[in-house]
Amino acid sequence: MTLRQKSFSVATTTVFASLLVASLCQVANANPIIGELFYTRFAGTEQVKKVDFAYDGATSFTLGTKTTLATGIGADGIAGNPNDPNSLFIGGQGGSLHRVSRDGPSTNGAGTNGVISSTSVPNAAFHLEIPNSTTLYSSGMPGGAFNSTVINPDGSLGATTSDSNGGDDAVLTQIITTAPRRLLYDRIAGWAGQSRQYFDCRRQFDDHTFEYRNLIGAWRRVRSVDRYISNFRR
Amino acid sequence: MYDPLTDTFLTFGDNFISRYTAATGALLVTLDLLSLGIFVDLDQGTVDGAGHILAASNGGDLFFIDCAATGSIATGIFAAAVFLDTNLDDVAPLVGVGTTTEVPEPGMLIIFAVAIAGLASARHRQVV
Repeated sequence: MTLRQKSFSVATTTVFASLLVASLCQVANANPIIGELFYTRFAGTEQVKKVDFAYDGATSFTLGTKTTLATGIGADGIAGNPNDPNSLFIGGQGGSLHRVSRDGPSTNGAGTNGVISSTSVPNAAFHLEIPNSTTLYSSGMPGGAFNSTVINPDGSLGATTSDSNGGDDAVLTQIITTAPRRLLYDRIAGWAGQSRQYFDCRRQFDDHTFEYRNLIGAWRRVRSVDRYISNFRR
Repeated sequence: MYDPLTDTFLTFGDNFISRYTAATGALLVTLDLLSLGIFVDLDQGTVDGAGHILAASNGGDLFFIDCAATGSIATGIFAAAVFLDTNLDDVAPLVGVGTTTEVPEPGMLIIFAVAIAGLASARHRQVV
């Protein structure tokens, strides 16, 4: 190989690599998107389903064919299983959590209803949050205490403990966790005719706990939240 | 729903979507979908980490927002509500630990780029 050929080979490799990396970055940041969305239905017989979606990046958002994954169970919150890419967790509305196959009935160890296993929990399980690969939070709608359930390394669910969420919060509906901080919040979800405008938040940062309580209509009373934070920082 | 792209979290309810800072819990902005001519009854939603929001309405619509260009849910967005299913309740996360979708992470792309560069370097040494 001549020096010119060697130089050409190195240049070709570099250009190819650059184009490949650039195209991958473009894919990661591209505005047009396609994806697969898993969802639940709160009533009916087909409670867990999935659908493909596509967005052209400008003016068109479309949905594809729907596929039924699980039937005959109570269903509300839904999340992927961090230790088993073939299954999903479902809040069973009542005191139960379900692990269902993401590929549908009779797959990945699921029965003909799509359910791999069901686990009883002490409090109602509606909305879900998974802060890490070992914990599944499920909360009522609205409810007081929430469930903290162990996710085993094989993706199965283990023991559940009941968290009182500070003791005086009776309207918990959703928990959100952020990293590296940990944030818990809730709001009334309009169930049983109640307002959706309530907001209540507990935030844990290091060993401190911030609590925002009973702030009705959060987005209309931001100053209350800000004042609370300012007071804490003092 | 926590949005790692902006280090904020979003709440969904009625016709409203609100974004808060994760650091302080302070409200950044609230989008009233009625102002866009869209009536929905939002329950839960998710983000894809690239500036797109998908939220379920109990009325059956899936609500979509593209705010990738501005980063804001209040200005310069494309929004649409498409009927998905009756009795629609919640959607699964598209980012985070409980995600159901495998999305290439920026970190993985960097590792891939380094690997490509390494291969190119190795080939360069081989031919020289």
